[in-house]
Amino acid sequence: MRLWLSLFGLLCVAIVRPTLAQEVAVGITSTAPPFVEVDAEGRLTGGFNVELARLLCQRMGRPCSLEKTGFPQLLTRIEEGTFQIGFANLLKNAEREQKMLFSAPIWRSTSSFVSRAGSPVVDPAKARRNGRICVVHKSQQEAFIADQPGPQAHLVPTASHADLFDALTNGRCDAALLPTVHVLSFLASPAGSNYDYSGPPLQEPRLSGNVHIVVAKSRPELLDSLNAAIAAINRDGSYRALIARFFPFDIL
Amino acid sequence: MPRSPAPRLPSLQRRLLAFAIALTLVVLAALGAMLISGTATHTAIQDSRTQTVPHILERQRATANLERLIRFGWIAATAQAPKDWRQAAITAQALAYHPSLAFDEELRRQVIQVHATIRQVIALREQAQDLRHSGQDNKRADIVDEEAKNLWTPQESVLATLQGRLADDAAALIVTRMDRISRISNLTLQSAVFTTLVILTIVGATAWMVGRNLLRPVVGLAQAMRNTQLGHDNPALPQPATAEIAVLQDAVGQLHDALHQANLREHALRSSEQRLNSIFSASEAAIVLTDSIGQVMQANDSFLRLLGLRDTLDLTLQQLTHPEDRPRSAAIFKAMTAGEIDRYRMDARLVRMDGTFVWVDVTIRAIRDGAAPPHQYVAVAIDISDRVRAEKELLFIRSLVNQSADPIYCLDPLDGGRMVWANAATCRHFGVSEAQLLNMRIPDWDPGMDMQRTEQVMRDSLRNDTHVVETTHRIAGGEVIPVEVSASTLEHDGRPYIAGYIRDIRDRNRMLETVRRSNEDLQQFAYVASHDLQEPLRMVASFLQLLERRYGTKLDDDGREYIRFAVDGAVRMKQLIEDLLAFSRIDSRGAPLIPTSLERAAREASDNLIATISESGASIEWKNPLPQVVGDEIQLVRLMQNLLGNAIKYRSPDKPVAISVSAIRRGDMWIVSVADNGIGIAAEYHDRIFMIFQRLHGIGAYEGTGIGLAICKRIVERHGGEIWVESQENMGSVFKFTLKAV
Repeated sequence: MRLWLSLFGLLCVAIVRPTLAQEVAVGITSTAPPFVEVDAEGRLTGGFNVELARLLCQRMGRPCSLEKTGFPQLLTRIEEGTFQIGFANLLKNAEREQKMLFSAPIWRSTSSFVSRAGSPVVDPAKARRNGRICVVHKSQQEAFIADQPGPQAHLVPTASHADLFDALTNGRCDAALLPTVHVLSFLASPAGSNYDYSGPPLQEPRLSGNVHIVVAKSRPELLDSLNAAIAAINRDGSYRALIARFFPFDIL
Repeated sequence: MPRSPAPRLPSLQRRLLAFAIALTLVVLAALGAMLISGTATHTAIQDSRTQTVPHILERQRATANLERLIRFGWIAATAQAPKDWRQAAITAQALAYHPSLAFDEELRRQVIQVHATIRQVIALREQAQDLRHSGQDNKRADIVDEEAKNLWTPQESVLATLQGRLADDAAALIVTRMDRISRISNLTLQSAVFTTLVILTIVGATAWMVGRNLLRPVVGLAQAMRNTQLGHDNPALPQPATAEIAVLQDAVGQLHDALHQANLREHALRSSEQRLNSIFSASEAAIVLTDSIGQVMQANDSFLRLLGLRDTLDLTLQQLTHPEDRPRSAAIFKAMTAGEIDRYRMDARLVRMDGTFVWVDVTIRAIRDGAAPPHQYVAVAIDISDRVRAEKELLFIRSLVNQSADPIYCLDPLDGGRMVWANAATCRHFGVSEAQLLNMRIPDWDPGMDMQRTEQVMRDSLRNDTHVVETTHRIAGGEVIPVEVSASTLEHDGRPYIAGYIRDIRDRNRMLETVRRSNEDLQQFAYVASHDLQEPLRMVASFLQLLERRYGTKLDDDGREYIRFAVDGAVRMKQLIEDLLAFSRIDSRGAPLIPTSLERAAREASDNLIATISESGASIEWKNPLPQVVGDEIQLVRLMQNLLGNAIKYRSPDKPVAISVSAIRRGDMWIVSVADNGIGIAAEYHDRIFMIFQRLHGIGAYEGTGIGLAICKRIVERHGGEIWVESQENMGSVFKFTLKAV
């Protein structure tokens, strides 16, 4: 009897295990609205990236488990493969391409300095020298500011955009460099009412361009499936509708 | 089918290959063109997908974002709440610097200018807001707001113009792409049409070539084959255009010839079979076909008739063979089965259905395939019952002849009369063995014959069928004896032979000598008697006549009548004696027989009868000149005179006498006929009339003693001939006699 139960158990494991293996672990950075919205307990409730992740998982026909994480952690776990898909509004660079796979572009971004309204426009080349600049850790913006001359203390990395806005409003930095679109919700919020873009977006190739979803290097088939799903939602208009729900203009 | 030597012709295969190569090249060219066209189309489509469509989408997005920028600008210029126009301004800045409005430098520049205007509008709105907050001059604030609005309004036209340009660019991109696709399509269509025309031309040329070089010849060949099948003559096929067709035509011709020959052979075979069947059915010979064990498979009607059978079911040759002949035939069958012989012929007896048997000459032939044992036998049986009977009779006759006491032999006239067969009596006659006798010739046993005379005698013998000669033979012991040889000419196997029968005539000659002397005595007696009787008879007659003259008056009538009877008797007796004397003198006083003119003798006889002829009014017709014969002219005159005189004497009372005399030759004899239209002679008297003193009528009816025809017979026989009469009563008579021709 015991033997039969053991065999039955092995059979169940053999049947269930492939199903479990098909579940995709999706990491989503805990950035600011409209990309991520969380409840009071910090659980994901919505936002552009969350809805986009659900929509793509649905189109891929795969069950996905969404997990909120920090930007640096997401990059690490994507590299490890514990996240198969990552939504972090990443721009492509050579270093990242060696560690992860990039999907088709999902929207286009520029980077802008944000500072208190009425303050002088930040000169990118002198930004670090003239003041403290908040950037998200391991972001392109951090790499850009790190390349600029200035004291190391003027480079203020944060774990997320929310932390970055907190640091900006708390006075821990004089300006922040981040994707232009990310700032819209902050500027429209009461906390950002005294802040504004500091000049036009930077004309720096590293800081503007296509934003991608990243996929673990070990799952190229997942990338194909993901790209097919992106093409599908582009064709049927559902992506455009999703953008219209969260952004005031077409960010593609 | 007439065939001429095939000239060197082009190869259909090469022609087809050339057309195929051409077609392949064209198809490949078409495929290449289609590939190029497809590639160009694919490239165009890819370009459209990767460039045109993104560009159009880019412009569509830019157009939409310009529309939003107009809206944000308008909100920034006209919204009442500062929160709204400030938020609109922030969003307008994010939008203005968004890459979707930066793909085109002119677009980016104008959008940035518009954004700069929005910043100015916002500055005016901020100024107006400050004026209101400070409470200095609301009217001035409204004016400033109005300036801000007025500042913004022209920008809508700028943005609308940009939208229009983007729409035009998208349309131009679509038109350009569509033009390119259209050109490719047109080129593809033209290439397809050209390729189709070329292919149709090649296909048409191929079809024409195939029709001319293959189809028509093949149809002709098919018709030729049909004609061949139907046995019709084939018209001459057209000159082949290709070597393959030439080969086919030649093959069809050979096939036609072969079929023709096969038909001829089949016809000949059928005819032969019909002939064989006819022979089989109609043959008088009994023919039977058996299987390997002798079981009868088929038999013809003659076989059934021969054995009195209705059918041949369950019959074997062994059953049909006479029990005494079965061992012999079984041994031969065994030899045939063993392959030692293929055929044999034997005389055997077959058992008829009624139990009797019939002798047949049977020939049996084995039918076998190569060296295999015979699988069939054919037997041909000929009824030889008559032959066997004849052989038996011949054997019997030979036995009789061989055992005859009289010598019988056969000579070869062409080999000096050599003895070729002799019976035992002949061997005894000559006192030699048969072997010795078969090497002897006539001069060896006939001392009167030498070789030269023998050959002459042989030649003479061959001219006569049968003849009897008297000669001498040297017999056993060396004695020479007289013999009579009866020889007949025979022919056997195309060669003449003379069969002889020897009779020892020593006794007969002795008897003939005795008879001859007796006859001479008798003739002498008859002559003497008749001559010596004449004188007393004359004396009797004279004295009776003297008695009648002297004493006739003294006698009564009876006495005178008695004397007259006596005188008549004496006279008649005198005539009889004279006739008898004449009859006897025929042999005794006859002249030698020499060539004599029968014509002259007959004329003389007619002259002698002139008075009688005249008196009777008889007419004599000499149908042809009478021949020269061997005879005694005086006796021939008497012969003819007797016959002519009888013809007149025994004439028919109611018609004039008509006599015809003729002669025809038969061999070395003449047959002389004397025909009349007299009273004729009944058949029963035809022999009697030639006997001496035999009369058919009373003495008073006709004159004469009845010795005339006896004299005629005697004369003819003395001449070696015969005499006879052909007559019926009242139908006239024809006397015929034979005389030797000269």
